[in-house]
Amino acid sequence: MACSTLGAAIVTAIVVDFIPVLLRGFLVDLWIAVATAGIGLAVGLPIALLLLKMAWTRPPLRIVIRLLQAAPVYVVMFFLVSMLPDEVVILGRPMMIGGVTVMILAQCTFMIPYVAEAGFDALGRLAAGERDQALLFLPNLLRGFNVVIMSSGFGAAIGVAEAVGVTAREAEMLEHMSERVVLFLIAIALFVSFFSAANLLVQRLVRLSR
Amino acid sequence: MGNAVVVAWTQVTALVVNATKGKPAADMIGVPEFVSVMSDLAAYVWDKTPLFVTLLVFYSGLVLGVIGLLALAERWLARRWGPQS
Repeated sequence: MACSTLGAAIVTAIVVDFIPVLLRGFLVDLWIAVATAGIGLAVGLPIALLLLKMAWTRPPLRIVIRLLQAAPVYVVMFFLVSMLPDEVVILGRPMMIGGVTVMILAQCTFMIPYVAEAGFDALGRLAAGERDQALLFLPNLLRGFNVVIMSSGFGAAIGVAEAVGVTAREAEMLEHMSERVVLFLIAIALFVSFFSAANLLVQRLVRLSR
Repeated sequence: MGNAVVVAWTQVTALVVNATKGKPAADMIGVPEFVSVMSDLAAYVWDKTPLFVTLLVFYSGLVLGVIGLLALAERWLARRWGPQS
């Protein structure tokens, strides 16, 4: 009895210590997704406009979009880690290129063509007077955001302290399998809750856009 | 059955392409994947550029190849089981 009480106390202590670490990691995932979505919109929407307004740009832009879609995020991430310098100078100021920056740039290979294609479709429908259909761009963007958060776990491979990486690192420090399972269950619960909430939001956005 | 495959083909394509794109991530759990082989090789060479360009070209080509094969399969399925014109 005393042994099981002690075990429960240890697990509680582990969980209490772990949750803030996990939330900090999840914030990194969110930051990666927000920055990727920002770059995706800033680059993808002008591409969508070019596709719509200047027909001669379509063949070369379609090739670029297909190539970006074909490049796996994990491989692009390794490519960038190896090819980019540790530091770049932007507007005369030296800036470090860390794992998070690499992760954001790698995820852009997914987000830019995704926004370009969804934006092209939405702008075309808007031009055709189909406003309801055009507004489906918003739930589509949220779906893309979800995919980016899920893929951010790849960052663990290059040492980014995001949710999957910190969970794996914390789990490695634990002796017992049961304690590790508890950590992974908490991390899974966090992701499931977030994605469930995001999916509800997507459904609501779809309903509102009709 | 034929119609079911034709109707579900978009989903099948998306799943196969996603599986192909996600395959390199097996490197994270120590599977001796092409990525891990190239990373090991990169540790021994001074100029890593050709290795990582090869890696990127290989995987992008692989995914494009899978997309091409799936498009061929889709045409074949449509001819065999698609709506008769």
